[in-house]
Amino acid sequence: MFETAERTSILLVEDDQVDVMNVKRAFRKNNIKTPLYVAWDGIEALEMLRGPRSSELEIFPKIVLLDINMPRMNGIELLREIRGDDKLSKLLVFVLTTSSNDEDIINAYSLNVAGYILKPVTFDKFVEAVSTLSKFWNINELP
Amino acid sequence: MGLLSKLSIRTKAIVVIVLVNVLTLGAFSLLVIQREIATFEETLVNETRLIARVAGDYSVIDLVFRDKDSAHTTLSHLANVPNIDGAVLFDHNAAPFASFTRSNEDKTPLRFRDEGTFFDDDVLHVYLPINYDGEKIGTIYLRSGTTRLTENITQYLRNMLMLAGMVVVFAAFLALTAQTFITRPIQFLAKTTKQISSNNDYSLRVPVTSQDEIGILCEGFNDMLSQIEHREIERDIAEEAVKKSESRFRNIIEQSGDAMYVVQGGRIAYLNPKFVQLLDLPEEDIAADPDAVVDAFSGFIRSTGELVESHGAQVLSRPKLEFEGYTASGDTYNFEANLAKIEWDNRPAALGTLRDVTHRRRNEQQLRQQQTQLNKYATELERSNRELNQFAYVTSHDLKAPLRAISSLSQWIEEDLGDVLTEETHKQMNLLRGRVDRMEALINGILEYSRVGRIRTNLETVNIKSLLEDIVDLLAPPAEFTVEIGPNMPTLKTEKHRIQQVFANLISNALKYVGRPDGLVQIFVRDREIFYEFTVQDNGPGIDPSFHDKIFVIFQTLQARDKYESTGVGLSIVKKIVEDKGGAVTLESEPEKGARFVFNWPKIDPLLENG
Repeated sequence: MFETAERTSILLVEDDQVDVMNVKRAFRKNNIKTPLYVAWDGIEALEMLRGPRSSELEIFPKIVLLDINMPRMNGIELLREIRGDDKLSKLLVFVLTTSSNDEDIINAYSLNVAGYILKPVTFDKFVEAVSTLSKFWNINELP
Repeated sequence: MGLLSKLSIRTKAIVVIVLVNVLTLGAFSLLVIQREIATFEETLVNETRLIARVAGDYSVIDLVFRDKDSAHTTLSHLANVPNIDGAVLFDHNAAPFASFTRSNEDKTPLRFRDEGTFFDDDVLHVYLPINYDGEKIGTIYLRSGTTRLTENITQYLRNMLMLAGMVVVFAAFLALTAQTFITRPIQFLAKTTKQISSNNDYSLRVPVTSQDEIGILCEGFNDMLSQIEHREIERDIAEEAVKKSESRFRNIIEQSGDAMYVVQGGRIAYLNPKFVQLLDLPEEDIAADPDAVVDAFSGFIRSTGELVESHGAQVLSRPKLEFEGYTASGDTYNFEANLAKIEWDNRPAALGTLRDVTHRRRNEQQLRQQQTQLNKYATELERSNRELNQFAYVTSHDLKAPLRAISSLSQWIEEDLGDVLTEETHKQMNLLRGRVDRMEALINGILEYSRVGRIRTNLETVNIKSLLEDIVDLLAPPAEFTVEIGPNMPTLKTEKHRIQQVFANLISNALKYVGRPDGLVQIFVRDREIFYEFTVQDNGPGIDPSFHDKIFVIFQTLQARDKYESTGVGLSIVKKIVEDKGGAVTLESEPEKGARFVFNWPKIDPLLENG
């Protein structure tokens, strides 16, 4: 776990402040030390990943936790940008959303997401989900 | 012949009969007279020669002895023979020796001849030689007149004439009598013919009185009359029928509710009362110039009529034409024209029928407008339905975010203030999150409900038996519960997700509400031609019939939500899914007797049918 934390960081793209808190608290509860950066929508995320705000990312992330319904540029649009960019296309993306829309699910998987997780309503279950996620990326070798 | 042809048959018959008789009698008389003459002459010759011979023989002595007186005496005896007019005795020197003449005026020249018998000038001359001892000693000459013959013939002719007269009278009588047999039937025939020709009465008949040619003629005539009479009757019947049909035809045209017209020679020959009424003009104006009036009404009537009149209705590209007509008062009519070629006063014409379809056209137009309106409504409804579904989906989605926030925040508050909070506050915090859960369930229910019929899932071949087993596994009923899956569960191609939702809702409902430890849920299937009829039955408390309608209504629950955590969406989803597939779901239940849900599922999914 420490190794992963040293090697990489996680970018959370989420517009809901409570959800951001949710993730941060769940990280804390699960004792995840991997640096977590937050972008409030797709445009901000791209600015951070490609510049001009790339300096904000001290460690370049290998994992992205992506919400779908966001202002300006939504998750699916951001995914298209990422998969169309040679530098970013290898990012491991997990969709973390409230949208159970079939179209969103299909679009997401056709853009090679590593998982599509519906945000659990209760915090306990959220903590559980984040725990499972962290175990998942820890047993995987990342590029 | 001219004169003869004018005579009546009766006169002709008499003339012919009398003529024939007279001619026959005449010819016969001529033959008899001729024969009489020949016989008389022969007799006269023989008699005279015999007398000559006798007289010659008596005169031999006189000649030998040259006794002239005796010779004269001998010859004078000839006066007793009536025929002999004169006699001369010649001696062997051909010199007259003695002579005799009946009258003194008789100056017959005496020429000598050796021998001969001949008539000369109605007088018979006979010369005969007189022989004695094989030696001719003289010649005797006798002369005999034919006065007696003439007298005989005259007498005969007189008798004949008398006979002929009698015969003519008799023949005339006979003819008069006989013609009755011959001419009477003919006269009757003539009379009948005249009667027939003057009265046209073909029922008359000629009496047949004989079996001869006239009889045959009369029979033939009667036969002919019968045939004519028969034909007359047939013609009368036919004429009657024609008259009847014509009057019927006329009636139909005049009574017709359709405007009708006849075009002949390109001109209006007839307009029926309905047409006149349609034109809405004074009748005398129409009568004055029907062509102009009709042309003003519609220019097509005469032109199409003329076309059909000369070529027949088949020249029209369509059997029914549609025209517009304009009356003088400004009304517009739509009508359908039906044209036919007919005989009108024995000449070709076109009969047109105008059916007023104005109302029909207007109705059609209205109907089209209504149809358009309906289509618009349908499109709008579809759009608003879609919007509603979208709305339901989006709102429920957006409702979940704050809900989650409330849930999370309440927990963090509880955690962060862990030491400060009382037991009561912890309980309230739990209640708060319980309501959040319920609200999430409701929102999920709305989401699910809005998806039925909107979101199509994959068609798969579903084995109902294994599907049911999976559902029961997933629902994990308590060990004392029994779920019985009946025999003959089918395998069909359908939306697996939907039928799974139906069964899962019904079975979980049964498990939830059965309310006793030894719960029993039974599932049956029956083949209902194009449907499978599935039954999910439990041995729970049952549902009062007065609530049967309510349980399929969304958000409707029969128990307090605090007692049984329920959204009231499950059965409404079941109903929506089943009805979306063209089936129906019913509930049969009485309190304390369990509940029995029955639903139909099509054997062939409507999605397959619609391609």
